[in-house]
Amino acid sequence: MLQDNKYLQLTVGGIAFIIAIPLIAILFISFYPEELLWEHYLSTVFPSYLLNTLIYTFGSSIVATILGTTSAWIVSSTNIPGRNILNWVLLFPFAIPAYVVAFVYAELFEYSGLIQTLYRWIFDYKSYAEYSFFDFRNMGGAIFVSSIVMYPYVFLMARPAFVQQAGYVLEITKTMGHSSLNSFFKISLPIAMPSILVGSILVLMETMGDFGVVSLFGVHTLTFVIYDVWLEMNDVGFAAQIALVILVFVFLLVYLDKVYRNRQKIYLSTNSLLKPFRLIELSKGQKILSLVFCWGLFILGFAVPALILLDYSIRFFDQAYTDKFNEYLFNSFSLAVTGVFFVMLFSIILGYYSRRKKHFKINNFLISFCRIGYAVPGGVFAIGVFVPFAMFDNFIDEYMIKYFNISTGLLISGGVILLIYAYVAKFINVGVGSVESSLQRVSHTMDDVALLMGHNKFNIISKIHFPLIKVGIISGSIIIFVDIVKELPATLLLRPFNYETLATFVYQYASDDLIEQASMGALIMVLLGMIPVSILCYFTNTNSK
Amino acid sequence: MKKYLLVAFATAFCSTTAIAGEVNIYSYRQAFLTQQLFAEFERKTGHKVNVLVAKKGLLEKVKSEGKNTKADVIMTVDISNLYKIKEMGISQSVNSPLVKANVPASMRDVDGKWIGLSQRARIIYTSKDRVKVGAINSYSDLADPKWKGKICIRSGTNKYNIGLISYMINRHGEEKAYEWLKGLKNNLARKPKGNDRAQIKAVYEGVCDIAVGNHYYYGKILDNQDQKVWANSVNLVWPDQSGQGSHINLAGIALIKYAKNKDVAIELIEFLSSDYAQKIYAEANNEMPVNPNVPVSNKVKSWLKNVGGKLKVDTNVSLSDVAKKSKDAVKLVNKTSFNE
Repeated sequence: MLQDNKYLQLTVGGIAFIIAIPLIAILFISFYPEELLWEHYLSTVFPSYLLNTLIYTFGSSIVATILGTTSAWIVSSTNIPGRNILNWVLLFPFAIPAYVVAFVYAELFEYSGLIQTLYRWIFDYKSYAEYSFFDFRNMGGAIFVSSIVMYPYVFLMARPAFVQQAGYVLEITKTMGHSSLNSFFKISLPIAMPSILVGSILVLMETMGDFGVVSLFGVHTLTFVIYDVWLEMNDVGFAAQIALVILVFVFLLVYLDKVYRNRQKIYLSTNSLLKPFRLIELSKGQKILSLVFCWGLFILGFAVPALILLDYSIRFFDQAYTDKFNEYLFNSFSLAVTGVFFVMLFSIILGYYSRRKKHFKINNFLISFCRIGYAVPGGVFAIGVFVPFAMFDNFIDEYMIKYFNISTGLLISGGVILLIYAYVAKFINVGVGSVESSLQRVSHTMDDVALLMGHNKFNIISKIHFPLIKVGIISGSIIIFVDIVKELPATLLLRPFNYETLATFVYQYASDDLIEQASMGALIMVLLGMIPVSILCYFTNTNSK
Repeated sequence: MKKYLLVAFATAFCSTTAIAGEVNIYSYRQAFLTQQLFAEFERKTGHKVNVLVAKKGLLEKVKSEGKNTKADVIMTVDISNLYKIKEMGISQSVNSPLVKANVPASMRDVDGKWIGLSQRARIIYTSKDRVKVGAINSYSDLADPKWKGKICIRSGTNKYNIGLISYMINRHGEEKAYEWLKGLKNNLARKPKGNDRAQIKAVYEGVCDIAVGNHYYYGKILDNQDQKVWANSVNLVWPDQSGQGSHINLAGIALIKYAKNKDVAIELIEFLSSDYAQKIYAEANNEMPVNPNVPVSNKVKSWLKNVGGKLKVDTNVSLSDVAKKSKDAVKLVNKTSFNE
């Protein structure tokens, strides 16, 4: 395929390196702790916080994977009634920021919340002392909230894999005399596994860096230690060391995933798409069960929190409304569109590079390395972004003054450019993951055959690759779009003066528990997130017809 | 797409040019708390105020931007942040006689490297139904075993709690502070979670009988139609009024070392410490003004009724000393497994 030249290798390496700058900066910062607090932390809270981190992140990831895979398989492979609508609405939950959903659920299950009020009314209790009720604000609650808002990551990644195999799997199943459930575990699941794992790892990494949900629910994870050390002990160097512990761990995961992926090569031919698309027939009981499951996800992950937000924004309209929503909406939208464009551009380059048979080892390492930024707690990542670029700006400025007597000031820092860069560096993981997992289903033999038949390379990409990877790329873009709309720590720190997005507007209130004021902004965020989700559905639904 | 890029580039470059008569603020204080003050400043002086609000990382940002920083002042809550600004060497002295006259020496840095603008007391809230008035009077009482399973408080490493624990270390020595914190930990009704507001709510709900929180939160929940009932279910206890006085913390401001708009920035600091702006501080958020000419808000005055209308503050422990002990305070929190 592409010419195997050094120029290409260098370009790819350069791109991966530039994207990895924040991580390299964090590494450098970690060399300069004020005090080595390892002994103190290891003998006090570190072990239990580490355990909490593992339970929370793996718990959320496993539950989200089960929810996302099951629902994706149901809507893509069975004749469940209302498939097209489910295809659409099952994606809604991740348009709401997790910390907002967390807050809404915490309220709902608290003493004065609807659930307990109902409970008291039914059993005629007068006060808290008379009965015991579980506390929602704990590990279980945190895992519930994270998995119910993040299962769409898995859903989005798994669904294209299921859709593409649907016709063909059914055929195999029939010839071999398997039941539909059997075929799911024996055939569909293993084939879709690489894509599912992309989603699972996304959830794992996202929860690894989470602070919003865990701080609200009192689940003390390593993110707490990082922020305690940085902000209360004023030791950013040691905080970076703890962040690195997490990163080494995440890097291992990404690496293992890659090894697994390279061993498991399952290709689909373009042919499978042309086969008549046949669905597994569900029995009546199975239909009811599937409907309850899928709509249950929608209700818990979206309808409940959205209705509560709607209730707040109606009752507190005067406080929740601002005439600046247009501006915030425009800012969020334009940042997200620009961000998605650049993330996907670089992801496609890096993703295609990984598919090649010959690479430089250092490039492979850099590509895996630059992806782990996704798991860094947002505040620390933001430091990793602005410190090196401010240094760069100051260096240029000094040079320009020295030789040309012109002060260039902060060229990159403090502008929207740096913010877009931060999004690329943070979300490249999602982009590369979605591109790699889609390309994996395209065999090299296909390219060779096409070349032999006299097609040029451009033709191969546009006529053979693109139809196969289209859905995967669009899915990745949607995750990135919604992630950028929701992104907070980097947006807060790196935005220009007087620049507000929907996320920053909502957060200023939500961080002070003022959900009333935050409610309408949050709803608008959700609506914004629904736009790309709907576009995806349009594409996939026409695809499956 | 092109259009958005253009807008993005335009915004990026516009923000690099400074126009005379403006001031750039990095702020840890939420916009809805400060916007009234800034609007008044703009109206009175004609200068334009530009704000960037964030939750963490602003100090590091100023430091790394160095002499090209666009920030002129930085506004923050908590003495530990103000102290850190000075330690990091990112601020410069404010020598305005007006500021010196408005802000008592105990509430600003000796070198003027930071200036306090409002005070907040860390106080105790007790259930009206379940705790007798006078049953708990001091921070030390919080560790009394008779309150086992009765107290709610937010995360031990939250800034406000670190401030209180550092204060206790200064006041009683590290060993006694450790015993105190252990006692308090044993009295907790549940794992620390949520913010100060959530602790008062927990008293209303019956989860606990006693909560620790900053005093102005009481005003915040009184003003909310849904939350009013929480406020009405608690009494305020101003700690140690018959002893050394309550621990107060500061919110404040610092002039950035490389401020480009230094004159306007100083004008802003003078304005914020003036009688006029201090009254807004007092009324809008029920914080206590630093300017001695300005009384506390009528609301705060009514809450202070049971201690004779005036809060006794422990002035023997300097705020800088409180800030210096914050690292030790975090270690104590870890040692007592306070958050688990």
